[in-house]
Amino acid sequence: MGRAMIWSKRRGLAVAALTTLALTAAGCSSSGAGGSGSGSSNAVLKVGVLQQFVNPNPFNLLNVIDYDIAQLDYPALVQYSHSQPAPDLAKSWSSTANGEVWTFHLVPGAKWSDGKPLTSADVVFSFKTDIKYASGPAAIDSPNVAGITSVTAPNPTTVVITYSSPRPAGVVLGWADITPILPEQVWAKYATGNGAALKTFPNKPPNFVGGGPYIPVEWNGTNFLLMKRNPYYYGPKPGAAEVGIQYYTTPDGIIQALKDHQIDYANSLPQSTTALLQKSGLVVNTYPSVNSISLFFNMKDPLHKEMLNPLLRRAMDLAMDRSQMISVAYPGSQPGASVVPPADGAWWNSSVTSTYNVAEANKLLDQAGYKMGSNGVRIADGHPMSYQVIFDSGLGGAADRLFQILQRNLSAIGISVSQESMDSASFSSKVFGTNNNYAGWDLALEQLAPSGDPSQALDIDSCSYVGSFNFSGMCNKTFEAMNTAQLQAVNVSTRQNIIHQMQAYLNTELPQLVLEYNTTVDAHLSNWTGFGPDPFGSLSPESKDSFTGIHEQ
Amino acid sequence: MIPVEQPALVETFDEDPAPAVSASPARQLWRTVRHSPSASIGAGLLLVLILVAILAPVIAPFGPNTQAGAPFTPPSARHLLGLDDGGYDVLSLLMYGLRVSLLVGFAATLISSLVGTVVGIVAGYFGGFVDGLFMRVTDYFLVIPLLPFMIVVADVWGANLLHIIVVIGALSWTMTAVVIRAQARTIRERTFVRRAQAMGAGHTRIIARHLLPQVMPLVVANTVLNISYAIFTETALAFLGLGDPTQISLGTMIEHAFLRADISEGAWWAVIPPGALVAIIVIACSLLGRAIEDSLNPRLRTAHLSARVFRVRPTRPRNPGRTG
Amino acid sequence: MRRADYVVKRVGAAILTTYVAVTVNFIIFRALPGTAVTNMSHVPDSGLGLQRALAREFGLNHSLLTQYGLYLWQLLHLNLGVSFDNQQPVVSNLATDLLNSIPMVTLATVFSVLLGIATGVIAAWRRDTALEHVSVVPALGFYATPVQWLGMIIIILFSSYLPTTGRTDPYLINPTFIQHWADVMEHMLLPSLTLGLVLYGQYTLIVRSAMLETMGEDYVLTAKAIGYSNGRIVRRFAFRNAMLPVVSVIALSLGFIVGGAILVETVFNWPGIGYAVYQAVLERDYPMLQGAFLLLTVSVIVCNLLADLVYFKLDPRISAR
Repeated sequence: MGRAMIWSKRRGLAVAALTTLALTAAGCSSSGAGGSGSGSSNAVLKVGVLQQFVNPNPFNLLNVIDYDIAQLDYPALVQYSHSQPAPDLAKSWSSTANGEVWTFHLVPGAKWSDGKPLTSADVVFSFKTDIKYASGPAAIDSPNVAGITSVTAPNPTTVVITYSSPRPAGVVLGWADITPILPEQVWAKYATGNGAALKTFPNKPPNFVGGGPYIPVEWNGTNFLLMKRNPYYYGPKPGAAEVGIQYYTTPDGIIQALKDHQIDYANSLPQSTTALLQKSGLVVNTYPSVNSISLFFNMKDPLHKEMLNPLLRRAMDLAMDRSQMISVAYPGSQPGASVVPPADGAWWNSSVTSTYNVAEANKLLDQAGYKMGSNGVRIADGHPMSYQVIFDSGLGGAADRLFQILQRNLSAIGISVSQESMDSASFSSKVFGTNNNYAGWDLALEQLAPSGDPSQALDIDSCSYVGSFNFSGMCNKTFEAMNTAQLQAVNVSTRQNIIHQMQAYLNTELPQLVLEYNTTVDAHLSNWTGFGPDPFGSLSPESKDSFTGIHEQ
Repeated sequence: MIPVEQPALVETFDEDPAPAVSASPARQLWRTVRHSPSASIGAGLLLVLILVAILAPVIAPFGPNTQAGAPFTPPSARHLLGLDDGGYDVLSLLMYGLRVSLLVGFAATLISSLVGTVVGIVAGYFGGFVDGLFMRVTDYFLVIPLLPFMIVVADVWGANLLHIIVVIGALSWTMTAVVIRAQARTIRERTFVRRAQAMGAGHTRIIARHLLPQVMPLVVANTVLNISYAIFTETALAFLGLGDPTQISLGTMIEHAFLRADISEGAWWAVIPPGALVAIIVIACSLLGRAIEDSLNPRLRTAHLSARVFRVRPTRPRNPGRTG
Repeated sequence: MRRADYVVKRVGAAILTTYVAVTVNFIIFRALPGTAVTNMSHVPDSGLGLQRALAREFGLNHSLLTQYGLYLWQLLHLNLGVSFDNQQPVVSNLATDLLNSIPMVTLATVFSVLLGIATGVIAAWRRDTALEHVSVVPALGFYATPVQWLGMIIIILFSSYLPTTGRTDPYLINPTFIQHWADVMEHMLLPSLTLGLVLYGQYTLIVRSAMLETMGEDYVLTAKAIGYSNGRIVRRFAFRNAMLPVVSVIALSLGFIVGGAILVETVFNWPGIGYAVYQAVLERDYPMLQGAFLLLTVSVIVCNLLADLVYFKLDPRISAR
């Protein structure tokens, strides 16, 4: 039980040409396609989700579902549509040649849900608030605004953002997509003093003022949320007049609800249920996800020093039977290798692959001098190679099964591991240790959901994310240099080259073993259509279009 | 209305005719088990379950870690109960799960019975201040809402089998203590105890030779009933995700069934057996425990209005010393 | 005189136990080493201002003794802190949760008592016949099943006919008073049924034993000899005496049911106190956890006291312990 914890606190953004592989989404025209308006105009879309939504305050977003809802409630400069940057509040944008100054042209005449004008002043306010409180209440948005030196509004429909160093489009637009623009008239009074009020303001209906396609009208705790169409929305009119989002504790519950027509659409179902959903006459959409599950090595201060031996890490990588993990625990997934998932399209280095070769793995361990002990467990530095794997219990039952396979795979090469399961909060504390010393553990298993732009996926091995999303604690000069370079490479093909090199480098360093890339599974009743594709499913933290196109047939 | 055969004096308890009034409690216990059908069924079932649990590594067709095929494979000749969501043989898992569940049940109950009996005897026999003190402590333990407390402890202390056993044991001793104390108090007043005291027997001797044997059947009954309680609690903890993830128990089998949508998959073979097995264990314990309890309460043996005439025999003289 | 004595003694004992419970609660949740559990001000995602205010309010920077005093003082003012989850006062959260649990648990108890009495009477009346077994075996069977497992089976069986999640239909907009309560009742049926099924078995056995005991009494034989009909005897004597233990067990179980309803509430998503406890653990919402724990303990104490008093009222032969 427990929430599906996906590490999603920062969302970068998506990608250039996403190939059309395995996109079985219902047809959706180019970005900006809203509801065609056919079907009942009072249609209520009943959505079921398996995550609890915590808090309507955009400074307190926690789970993916919270980001999904924020995306629908608030405008952002850009969004993603079919995994391409697309207009949102900004209908067009441009940058200087060196990528340091970005100009966004906003949709004219936009309004907030309370009728007040939605202008560049609100954009400036939001960004400045994020910058001002980046180390405190607005910490959640601090990576979004990192490196911004000024944000100005020369006129009500233009915003100019200046960075301290060159920024590629993917990075700028990626962060902009998940930076909610807040109504100054509501939030200005909380952005004073130490800004603590920003996080404690309940921001609940009926006082909720938003600018996105939907506005929450009823927010009951963590289990149910009702949203209505925002009549002032500056974009195309959404197809469903009202949207209800309901939390279900178990997959059985949500599937039963779908079958009984108590809900119309279920978002992010377990992969193992794909076949049975299809058999039940439901429309099932699957998309390659950016999520992946990895086994992390403690690269900073492991309990057992042999973790730092690259031969050991390579051997363990070769021992992983990824295809069995997939067939048992995550049917439909792809075997993992690079930290950048295939869902990232051209950014993904397809030559980085993983192999399953137990004999080779054993050879490497023999070569490293780890002799096989009498009970089938190898000896390293005088102790048996027996380790604990810190396990996030929020990953659920499928990950338990994956772990059991991992355990068997490792015992085949003479390494014994056991599962030390704990909740997500304790997981972080244990992995990061006191003052980020990463002491007292060797291995950890966790799921990551870095949004489409590869910078997020790569950042998990960078120094700046130590203590937040860098689980291996890796902090390495070579990699940092490459990372800095790609974050400033305005030219797309240059950037792509660097990013490919980084993936190859990580494949030799192996701070983590990427085990599999997940697949997002959505299901809905056949009387609804217009579900747009997105790696996160139609209810997405990065796209409004994937959801607003939904309408009754 | 309800017909009645004969308003005769009937003895409806099927026991040996004319049992000796002074039969030792142990003897009576044995007789109860032997002759009461429900007790025999309960005891028999428990015995079979214990045997299966002990012999699991030998008789289970597959190892608990052997992936025997694709997940959710339906039952077949090779896999009588099919495969679960991980591709493991359900029948084998049941046997191994039984081991762990029974281990938790017995171990936790051992702790709780031991502590409860000691506390109950001491409080009931000595009375006075000691009794008052123990009872205040018991009062508090009795009111701790068990499951929430265990949730907190499992979460803060870590969920492994040992912790779970200790916590269940440490929180359930009170129920035994209260019952044993009541019994100890009654027995303390009996003439043979007074006689022994008058003759100068020390406390230890009285407790060991007189009190303990009289109290034992009640302890046994209580222990048996507590076993089912302990197993229940383990399944509850596992369901809430607080079980030991490295062990397969009946509780974790039920938990996996929920987490992996077994019911929606139609995999009833992975859902029904673990729950049913828990129910069987509990029923067995209840049958046995209650039969023992019943045997200790002589008044249950007579029922003037019973519908069925069983045997007609002279009613046993009521022994004034043997009040319940 | 004796009655008053007894009542006073029992109430006194209850107050003492409550005090012990309150203190142990403090020890567990505030005094144990480890800032995560004991630091009431460490509200996640809260600003420094809120943390400082809470630290001041609960005296977290002072000695344990001072904190204890403040703790008792706050308790008397029904201030149990602020929930980490929704940043609302713990007391109001608990009140809502408790008010949600009570109707469902009450319905379950009513159901289990009625069914238990019916089956218990039949089992005693028709002792050693097939009917007894038909009454007792399912009672025992349901009693023996894990309630969460039974809950899922019931969901599968009834999901097409009755709602299986939550307390209300969230899509029912602006319902009238009747509509709202009809909706709540509809949602309450399955969880109460599940809880009732696993509980009724104990009443069956109690009623059966009590009735058998009574039926074996001499005065019943006398009544029979005098010529009372069986039905009259059952009604006037056996039943009355059987009610005594039933009532006390009801009161005793009530305290435990509310805590034990955790499983049912989790399976059916019923937003009651049990569900709140479970969520509080999952989310490490320590103020809520502490508050819920205290509430549950106190409710058990109160229910035990009521059980004692009721039992005493019904059966004055019992003297104070």
